[in-house]
Amino acid sequence: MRTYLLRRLALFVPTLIGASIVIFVILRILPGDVAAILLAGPTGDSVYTQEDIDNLRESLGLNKPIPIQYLDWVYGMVRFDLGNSYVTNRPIARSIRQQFPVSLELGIFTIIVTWIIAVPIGILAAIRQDGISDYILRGIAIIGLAMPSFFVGLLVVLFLSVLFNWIPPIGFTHLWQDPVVSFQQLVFPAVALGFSVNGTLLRMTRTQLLEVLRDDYVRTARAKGLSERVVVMRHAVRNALLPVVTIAGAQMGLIFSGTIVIENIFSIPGIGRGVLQAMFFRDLPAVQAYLTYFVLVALVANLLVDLTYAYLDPRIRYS
Amino acid sequence: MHLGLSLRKLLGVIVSIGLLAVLACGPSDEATPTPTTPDAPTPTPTPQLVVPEITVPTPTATPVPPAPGVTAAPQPADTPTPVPDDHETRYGGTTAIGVGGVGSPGHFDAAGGSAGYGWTGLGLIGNVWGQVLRFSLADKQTVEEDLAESWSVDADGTTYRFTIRDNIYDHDGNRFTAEDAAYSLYRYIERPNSLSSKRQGCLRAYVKDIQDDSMSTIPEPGVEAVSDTELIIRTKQPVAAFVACFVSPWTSVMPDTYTRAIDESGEWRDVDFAQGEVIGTGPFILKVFEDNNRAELERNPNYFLPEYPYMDGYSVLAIPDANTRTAAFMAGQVDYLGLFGDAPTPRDVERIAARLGEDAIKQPRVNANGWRGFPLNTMKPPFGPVGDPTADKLRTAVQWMADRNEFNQLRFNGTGHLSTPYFIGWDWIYTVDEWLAQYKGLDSTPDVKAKDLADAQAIMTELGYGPDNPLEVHFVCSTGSRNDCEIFVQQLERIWIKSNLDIAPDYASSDKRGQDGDFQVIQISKGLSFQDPDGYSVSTYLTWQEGGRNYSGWVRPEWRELMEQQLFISDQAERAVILRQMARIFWDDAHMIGMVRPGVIGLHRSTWQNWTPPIVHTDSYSLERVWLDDMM
Repeated sequence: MRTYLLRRLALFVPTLIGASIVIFVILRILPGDVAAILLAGPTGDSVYTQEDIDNLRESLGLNKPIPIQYLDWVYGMVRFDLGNSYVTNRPIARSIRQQFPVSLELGIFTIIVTWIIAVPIGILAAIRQDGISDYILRGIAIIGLAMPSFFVGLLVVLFLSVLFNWIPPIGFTHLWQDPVVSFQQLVFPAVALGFSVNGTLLRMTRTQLLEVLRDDYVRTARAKGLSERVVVMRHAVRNALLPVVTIAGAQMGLIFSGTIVIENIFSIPGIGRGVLQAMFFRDLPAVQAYLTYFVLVALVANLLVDLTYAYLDPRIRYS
Repeated sequence: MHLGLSLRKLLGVIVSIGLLAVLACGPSDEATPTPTTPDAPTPTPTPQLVVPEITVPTPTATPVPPAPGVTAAPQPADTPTPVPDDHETRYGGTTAIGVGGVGSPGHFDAAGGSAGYGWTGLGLIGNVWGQVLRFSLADKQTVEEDLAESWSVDADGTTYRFTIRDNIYDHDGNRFTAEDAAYSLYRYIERPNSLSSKRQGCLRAYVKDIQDDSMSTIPEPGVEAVSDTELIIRTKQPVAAFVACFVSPWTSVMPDTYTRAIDESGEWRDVDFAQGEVIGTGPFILKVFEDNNRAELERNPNYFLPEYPYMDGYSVLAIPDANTRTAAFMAGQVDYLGLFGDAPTPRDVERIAARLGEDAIKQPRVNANGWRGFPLNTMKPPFGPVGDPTADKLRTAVQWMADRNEFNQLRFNGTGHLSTPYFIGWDWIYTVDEWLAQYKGLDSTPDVKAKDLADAQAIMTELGYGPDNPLEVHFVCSTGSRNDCEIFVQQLERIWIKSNLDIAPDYASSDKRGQDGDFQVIQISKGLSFQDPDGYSVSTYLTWQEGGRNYSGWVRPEWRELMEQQLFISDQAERAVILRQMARIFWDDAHMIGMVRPGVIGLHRSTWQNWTPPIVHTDSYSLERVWLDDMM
């Protein structure tokens, strides 16, 4: 297991290098002169001269050959120096340090909401197959699948505003600063995010469990006289969850990467808001840093999924 | 099949979670519902315009906008300090401002390239930073002393003397002197370490240099602190627009504690809030700044005017989503909405008024002063050269045809104002009626516009164009202005001009094509960095090589002579005569087809007292003299 883990971690390096090259090159071949864009300002109102452009290009290091720019960036990344924002001139690492815990809290909240609701409901739908409750729960799942999270988010704000003349407190308070306010701020975006994720997980849980419940070993367990609870919860669910974990892992990557639209709707200053701001202002070093972070999150999420397989299915052994 | 995990139990768990969530929504200090109850009678929507001033003529009403801007008289203004009625003033309380975008100021350093508009950008001026002179907070038009207690101009009209108050201390507790003010101005003019200072170009244009090429201070420099309280500014020549330039909020002054050290390091960086470098002399101290989240400002107990400010502080909350901003206002979490890009739409304001009541809110309009429209390339056919009869007629047809009111309705929900050669609110040049009567094509009243369009079509017919023989033009636009361009493309079709729309990926790429002359029609938008007609001339109408934004290639020696001539005239009426001649030449040559500049609604609660809203977007947003009447 340790060897496998080390090998997977070692594979992070070439993957990250490949991804970093793709990210760097794509951002460099986008049309438009970054210096001129920055000087023009977000509304394009500002006046600037060619001399201003030249000076800014020089100070940003944009006149260096692209391979040198890339190596400068990678060298900085290796030293955990993500550089300064082109727009604010403040360290990008500082921004990410502020935003990461915010998105992490939202992500954890969302996962809790998702798993607490989706998996039990999926199990219930499976064991009540074709009953009224199954139809109702599947209907809810399909609604969840059909409604993107941003739409659910807008509905939540509208619902709270119109019915209660209330919306969650604006801004962000960490759980350890004020748990009540933090809960008020996080629960609704988590529900909005989790609603569509729930649909996928619920249906996947139900489908997988139905399949497993028809397997011979489940019939054997029942024949041994085990109670239905033990048969389902101890024998069937564990095996049924393998594909569910795969999907949940992929979704976890998305959730922890920050959810741009939900963070905007609920005014949560997380990674999603940061990346949107960076893209809006064509803040290249910041965009590069965020995209690299997303790659890293995806790699870690995939590794965790693979490791969870081994836990869920003892037959799986990594070496 | 019985599992013990029954549907009832599961639903119970879910309902419990739901109840917990509902409980979580309980009232908190930050979320006190407004007194308006859902059952309160909803005011019937009235025909009242949510935008109080419409400058583009409509068939129904054409109220005159307020006349903003300093009038360029270089005489100390004797404006009394507005002191609120003692019976009404209230000390204490806080207010919250909801901004969209990213809630980030870009740069805190006012000379930084991304020092921006808004409550956490320009809004810090007058609240955190001060100015030597400023627009009066009472009327946002006349000039009053801020950090200076008095000022005068020498007889030659080139030397301005300011006496800085001797009781000013910055937020670190250090004495603020004329030397601090001089250093801020030095940075704008000499731009150490290639400092951007892109919004203070008028200072560089009007004020004498301070240093020579070897970085030595020259005799009689442009800016000089001769003692702790005496500041001198010397202009290159008498300039009528200097005061307007100098009172622009962009020329705020900062304590030099941190900026000097940064400049001496040899490489510019922004002043850093995390290192305690964002300090000023203003009535509020920036206590909390969380990028993309919030800023909190507290009353400065050592403010040099001890009776101000009234409020204990205010916060600026970043709320990127427009619907959430509106909901936050209705829910009582914010008390002000509205800046460019963040402003509520007229429909939002209607919803808020219906919910809270008309009396609960005020909705002044803020104009984005400047120029917005479509330059035509006069360097080549079909729109050039100027003086060619065919090209001249063609440009005139476009000028007469353009329907500004339609553009305003489609693009800005009717909240914009006409992009006349000089701001339509400057009545001392022309009143709105005079603009409309004397400048053919401006009036969009249906009958008038129908006639103008017919006249334009007659010109086109005379030139040989028609529905079956349209003129094809290369129309350059940036992605961000696509809506502007598509509206104009449709209008051009009314005089049989067919546009090949060329969408550049960003403003800079569009500008580049403008600079290269690679267009026949192009879209530009330019804000005014200081409130004077010279701001138009310098930053928009001069060619881009001269620092303007005029890509049309239009050069008119007569216009240029008039421009130079009016620079020296401080008498407003006398200067207006020349400006009218300049406007006439500009309009008749029709090389830049002005359309509409945006305006926004600066929505705030009626609890804000003594607040004079900004008239134009670069006015002061100082809350120094605002108090809240729901206190006590």
